Amino acid sequence: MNQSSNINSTGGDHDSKSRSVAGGLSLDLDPQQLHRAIHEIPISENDEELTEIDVTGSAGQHSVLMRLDHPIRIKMEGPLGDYAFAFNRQADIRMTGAVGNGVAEGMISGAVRVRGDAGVGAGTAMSGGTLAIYGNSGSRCGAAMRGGGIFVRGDVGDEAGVGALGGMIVIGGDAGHNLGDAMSNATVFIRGDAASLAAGVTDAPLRKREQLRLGLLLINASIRGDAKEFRRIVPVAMLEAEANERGELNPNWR
Amino acid sequence: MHVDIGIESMNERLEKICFLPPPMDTPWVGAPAEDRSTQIERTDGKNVSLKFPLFWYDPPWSDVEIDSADAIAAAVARLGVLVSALRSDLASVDDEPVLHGCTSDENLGLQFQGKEYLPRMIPYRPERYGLSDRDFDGAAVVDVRLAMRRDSTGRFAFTPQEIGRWEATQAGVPLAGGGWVPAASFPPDVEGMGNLAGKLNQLRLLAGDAAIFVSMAPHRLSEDLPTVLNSQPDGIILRLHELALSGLELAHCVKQTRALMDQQQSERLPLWVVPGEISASDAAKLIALGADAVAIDSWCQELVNEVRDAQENAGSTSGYASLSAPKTQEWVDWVEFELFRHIERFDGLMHAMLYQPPQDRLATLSTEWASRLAIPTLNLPFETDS
Repeated sequence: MNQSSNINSTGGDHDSKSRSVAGGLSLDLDPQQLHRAIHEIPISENDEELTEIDVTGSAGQHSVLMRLDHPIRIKMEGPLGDYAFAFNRQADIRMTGAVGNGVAEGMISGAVRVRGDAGVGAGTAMSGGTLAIYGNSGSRCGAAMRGGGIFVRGDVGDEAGVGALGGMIVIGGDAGHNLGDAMSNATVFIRGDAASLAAGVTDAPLRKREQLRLGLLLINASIRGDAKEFRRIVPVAMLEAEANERGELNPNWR
Repeated sequence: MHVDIGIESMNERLEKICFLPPPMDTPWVGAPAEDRSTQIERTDGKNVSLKFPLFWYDPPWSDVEIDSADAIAAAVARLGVLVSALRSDLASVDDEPVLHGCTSDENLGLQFQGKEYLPRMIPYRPERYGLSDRDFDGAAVVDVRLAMRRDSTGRFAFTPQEIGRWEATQAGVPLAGGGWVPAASFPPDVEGMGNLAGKLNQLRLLAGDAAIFVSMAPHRLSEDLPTVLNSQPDGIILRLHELALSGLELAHCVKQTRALMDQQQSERLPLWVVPGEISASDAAKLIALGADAVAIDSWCQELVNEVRDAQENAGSTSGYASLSAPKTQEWVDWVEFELFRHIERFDGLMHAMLYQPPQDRLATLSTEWASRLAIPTLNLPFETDS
C-alpha cells in the first residue's frame, strides 16, 4: 500500500524554521529536522510506487534538501535558491517553479524534475540519476558531469557540458556558445542549434541503438518528441575511437 | 633497511632569522602550558580543533598504489597533521579508507583499536572529480580551491593517473582515452566571485563539522584577497609554493598577507600558507611571522618517494622490498618515525616561543631582513655580511 505523508512547511522566505504538518500533526522543522523527518518516513513496500510527501514553504531558500538518501517522492513548490537537492541519492523530487544555481550538484542517484528554469551549473559534477528541467537552463549546465542524465526541454546557456567526463545531456531547444568544451566520454543530444561547438567536438550520426536509448529516456523524463529529431554531439576523438573499435589501440585524446 | 630522511638535509630558507630566547634576567617560571592545539572558529560560531598547525596540502596520491596511499595518509594524520584527501584517492568505491574512519578490524590487524578520529581536509576542486557525498562526513576542513591546477608539465590539467584513480572505468576504456583532462578555473555552479559566499554557506551545511577555507594563488593577491574575504570563509590558504620565492620573499609575503587581512578587518581569520620546501625551523618561523598553519608537503613527499621507488622496484632484491607492502606495523612505524622527527622539532620550537611575547620571538643579523620584516637586528660585536 502506498503510504502518503504530507509535510507542509509554511514559514516565510529565507526562514530557517518552518511550520510543518505530517499526517495531521503540526511541527516546526528547521532544515536538519526536516532532513531527519524525511528519512524517518517509512518507505513503500511496493517497489513500483514510492511513498509520496509534499513539502511547502521552502520558497526562496538556498541549499534545500541536500544529501537525501531515501527512496521517497517529494513534491514541492518553488522558486528555490541555489544548490537545491545537492548530493542526493534515491529520492525522486518533483518541483514547480524556478531553481537557482547548481541544482542537483553532485547527484548520485534518483531524480529531480524542475517545472521551471534553472540557473547556472545545473547538474554540476553529478555522477548518476536524472535531472529534468522543463524550462531553460543557464550556462555550464552539466559541467564536470561524471554520469547520469540531464534533460532540458528548452534552451541551455554557454559552455554546456564543460569538462564532463561521462553521462548524457539532452537539449530540447538551442545551446549557447562552446557546447561540449573539454568534454571527454560524455554525449550531448540536441534538437535545436548551438551558437557554436567547442573545439574538439563534432556532430555525429545518431545510431539506431542511440535512437532507441534516447527515445526511452525521453519517455522516462516525460519530454515529448521523437529521438530522430536530435543530433548527437561528441568529442572528435570519441568518434574516432568508436570507428576504431575493432581491437585497435586508441590514441590518447589530448 | 630504510633510508633515513635527515632533518639537516632540509633546506633552511629562513636561516637569516633566529629565535630570540628570553632575556637573561627572566625569572625561572614553569614551562608554558602544553596544550597548543589550534582552534578555528566557523562563521556560524562552531569551533574546529586541530592538534598541530601543520597540514599536508596536495599529496600526490596517484603516485603510489591505492593501499599505500591510504596507509601513508592515516599514518601522517595519526601524528596530528591535517591530511588532504578524497575517499577515491585512498580506496575503491566499495572500501572504507583508514583515513576516513575504517576500524582496526577492517585494517589487516594493525594495532590501533576502535574508531579513530584522523584529521582530514577535503580538496573541493572546481571540477569535483572523484568527490563523493561521504567525503563531507567527519572532515575537519573543506578547502575550496580557487587556483587552477597545474600538472607536472605545467599544463592546467589532471593526469591520466589522477583521473583513473578518481573515476575508475572499465579496463581498456579509460576516460579521455587515457589522456590528460583540462582543469577548471572556477566552480561552474558559482556565477562569479560575488556569489562565492553562497557556495561556502552550502558547504557549511554539507560538512557540518568542518571549517570552510578558500585556497588561492598569490599572483594577484591585492585584488583577489579582499573579494575572497568578502565571501566570509573560515580561513585562507595561500599557495606560495607556486612562486620561486627566496627566503626573504617568502617571509615578507606571509607578513604582508597577514597585514592585508588585518586591514580588511579579518584579524582573527586564519592564514594558512603552502610555502614549498621548508624545514621544521622554517615552519615555526612562518608561524611567528603571521601564518596560523603551514603546509609540510616537502616532508611528506619524501615518504611518497620512498614508497613509490619501493613499488617500482618491488621485484628486485634491493633494500626497498619491505616498503612495497604497505599495511604492516613495521611500515607504519617507519612512516611515523620519519615524520615525527620533524614534527617534534617543530613542536619544540613552538613551545619555546611561548616564553616570549609574539613581538619578541624573532630577530636577525641582517639589516635588510630586519627592515623588510620589521623584526629587530641582533646587537652583536662583529660585522655581519649584509
